[in-house]
Amino acid sequence: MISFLHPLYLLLLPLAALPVVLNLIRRRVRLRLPFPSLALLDRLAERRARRRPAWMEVLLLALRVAALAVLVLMVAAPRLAPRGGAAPRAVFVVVDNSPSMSYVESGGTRLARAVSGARALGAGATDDDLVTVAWTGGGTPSVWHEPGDATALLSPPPFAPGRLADVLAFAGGLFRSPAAQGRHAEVAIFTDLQRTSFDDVAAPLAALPPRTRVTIYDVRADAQPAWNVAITRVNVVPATGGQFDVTLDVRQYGRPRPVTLAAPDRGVAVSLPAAADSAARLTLPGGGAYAFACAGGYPFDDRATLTLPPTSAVSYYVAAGTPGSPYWRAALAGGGAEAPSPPPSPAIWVGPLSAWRGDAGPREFARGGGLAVVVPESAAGGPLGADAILSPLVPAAAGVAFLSGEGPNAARLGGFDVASVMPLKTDAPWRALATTAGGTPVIWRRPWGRGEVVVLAVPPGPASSNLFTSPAFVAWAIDLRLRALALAYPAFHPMTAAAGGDESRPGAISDAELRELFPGVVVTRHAPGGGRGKTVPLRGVAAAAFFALLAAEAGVAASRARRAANPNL
Amino acid sequence: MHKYIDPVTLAAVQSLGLRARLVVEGFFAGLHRSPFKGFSVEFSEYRSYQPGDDLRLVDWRAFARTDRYYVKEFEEETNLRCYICLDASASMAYPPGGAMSKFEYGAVCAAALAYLALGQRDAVGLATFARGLREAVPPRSSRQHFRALLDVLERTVPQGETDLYAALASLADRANRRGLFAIFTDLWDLRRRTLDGLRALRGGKHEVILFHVLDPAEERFPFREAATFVDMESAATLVLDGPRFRESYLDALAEFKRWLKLELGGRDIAYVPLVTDTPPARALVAYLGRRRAMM
Repeated sequence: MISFLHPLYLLLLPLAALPVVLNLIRRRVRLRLPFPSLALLDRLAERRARRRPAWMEVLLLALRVAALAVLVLMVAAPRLAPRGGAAPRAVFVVVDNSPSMSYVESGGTRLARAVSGARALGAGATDDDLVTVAWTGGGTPSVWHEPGDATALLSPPPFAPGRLADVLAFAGGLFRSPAAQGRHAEVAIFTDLQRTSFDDVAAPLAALPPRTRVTIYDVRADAQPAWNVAITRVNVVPATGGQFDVTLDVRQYGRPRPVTLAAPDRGVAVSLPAAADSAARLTLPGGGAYAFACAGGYPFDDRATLTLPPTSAVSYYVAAGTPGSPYWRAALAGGGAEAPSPPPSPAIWVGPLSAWRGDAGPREFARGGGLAVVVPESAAGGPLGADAILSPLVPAAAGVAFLSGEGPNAARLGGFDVASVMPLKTDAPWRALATTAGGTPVIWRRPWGRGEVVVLAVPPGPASSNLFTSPAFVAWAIDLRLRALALAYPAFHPMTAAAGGDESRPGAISDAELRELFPGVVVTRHAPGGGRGKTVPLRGVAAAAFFALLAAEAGVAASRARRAANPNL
Repeated sequence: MHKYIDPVTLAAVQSLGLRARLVVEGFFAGLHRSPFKGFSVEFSEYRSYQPGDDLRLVDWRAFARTDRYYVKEFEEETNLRCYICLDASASMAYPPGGAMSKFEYGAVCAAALAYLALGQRDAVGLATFARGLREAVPPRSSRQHFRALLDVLERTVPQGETDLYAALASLADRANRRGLFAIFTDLWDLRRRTLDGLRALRGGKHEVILFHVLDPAEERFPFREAATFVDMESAATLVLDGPRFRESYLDALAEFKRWLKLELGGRDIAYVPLVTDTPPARALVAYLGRRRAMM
């Protein structure tokens, strides 16, 4: 059975009869003219008929009809249905309408190519197939019933970031529904393979029925656009006043051009120069998500989504009072007032060794996921110690070497043996985070349970040490604060890298990653073959018909020219 | 008044006269040369005396001048017997419903020539033909005969197919004396024997003038669209694209006329092409003027 991708064009098929109609009209002349004698005209007509035999007239007419018919069929795009009774299918067509699909290349947008491909796929479906069309950027999925649904169902909604994962989850539900029972499940995804579209697809993919055939149609005209831009890194530093300093590192590939990074939902935008590497620096109030992306018409969907906690302040407990007096006080950063009840999301316990030893609370807090910071007794007297640890505003200075993750398993500082001072039932070793210039550790760290214990051998205050003069310590302190914020506000993930992809195809997911996500997936850059149908190769036939017609017409024209030159022929 | 009497034409041709170019015989001493050289009014030439010549013919003045004997010869003027033949086949009715058909044109010319000849006291006969002779009026020289000729012209309706050879052969049999045959036809009977008929007339020592009468449409083929052409004699049809055939038709017609002129000229038959958009008076005056200049 033959179906047509654009069946409406078949209405033009009667045009193929135009040469015949014109021929008949010419023959069936309305005018009858009496003429004295046809003696001379008969001879001329006979001579002309001898020059061009009747079969050639018929052949010429047939070629003209054939050429027009083939032209109309080509435009209608016929497809052959496969032989044999194939089982019906449930085809889930996903069309990516993320902003990167608005990118114009090779004379059309990526979305236009995607819609065209989806139409071709739908046209290849039979009456027994169930075809559903869904958009990644929202909108209710539509079921394709009739070929005419192409116009209605493939009217794209506005470009919007979307999640393929959500759409695939819907597909899974559809395949499990009674409507899809007994059908082969197929998923066809028309996308430009931007990395951000494939976040979290593993789970819904795993939920698809077994032997679901997944085909990904890469609609990019150019897998490696001449120009592209990626957000390579996002850095967040808590600032004062509950705000955050955010730095977005941007890299451009190809010839640099000015770009604008924006989080339009939050009314934030920053312009960057035309440079291969540049950085956008912003101070943002806490609270909510910021989705940074390059504003409009870019061939990628790279974006950095940052969820900031409502405040850059960290809630912590300060153990106050004398040893053996286990009560908790809460204080706000920079303040000192004691609150009668614990803050909603305590993240750090700061206290002296005596408090650690005398109270099971801090240990339980750390085991449960909190961060316990043990400071020397002299520093535990007030909030100064805690503030000193948690303040990021310190000038850089030399004097203290800061180690990260390396260091002796145990250390001594003037008789301070952290292993004996703080015996912890854990196999994780103590790691020295900072030492003196002579190599004596001053800060230890050890994971415990789901949390962490940090021990300072010296008070962090400027009167006791020059820790705050160390950029490394400052960075650690900032990181400590960020981790505390992350503990307090689980939605906050301090990002140090964004979805930038590899340098060769920034923003695009690699083939290897695709195959890892979709085992057995078919990734193709060719237009779909209409499901099970095969395209009828009419281009060759059309070309042959037109060439034959051209040759015949040229032959006739040459014959006329010869006769005009020599009427005696 | 008879419809084929065109006063303009008659007035135009009257003064020109119709002199037989070739030698004909006639009853009366008219304007036409006789083949018989005898004693008559018009001196022809001198020749040397031969024993046995009539002494009355010796020119004594010439003897006085030259001391030699010369005999005068004279030409005998005879009357012209003129046979006007008009093609009355269906093709001569072209164009149907037009201003003047070829038959009407030929009839006007025939009437004019008849009038001219009768005015010269020449005998004029009329024959209409299609497939063979249809009607034949023997030559007479009386003025009253003109009316009879006009009556024939008036009642003749062009119809039927053409067979020029049959008509001319029949006429040749009837013409027992030399004369002048003025044939008005469109000559669409392209069979070879058509010329044989004309040659037969010349074989009888008659002078033949062939007036080839064509309509402007036949002459120029002005048809600008495809049409079904219908033969007026056989009713055969032919679908043709006028513009595409025009050039070939004109070339073929010109070639046909050239061939005719050559063939007829070689047999001393005058060929006079006429197109019906030329007023008959002008056409006849032009021809008669040329003819007079040749005399």
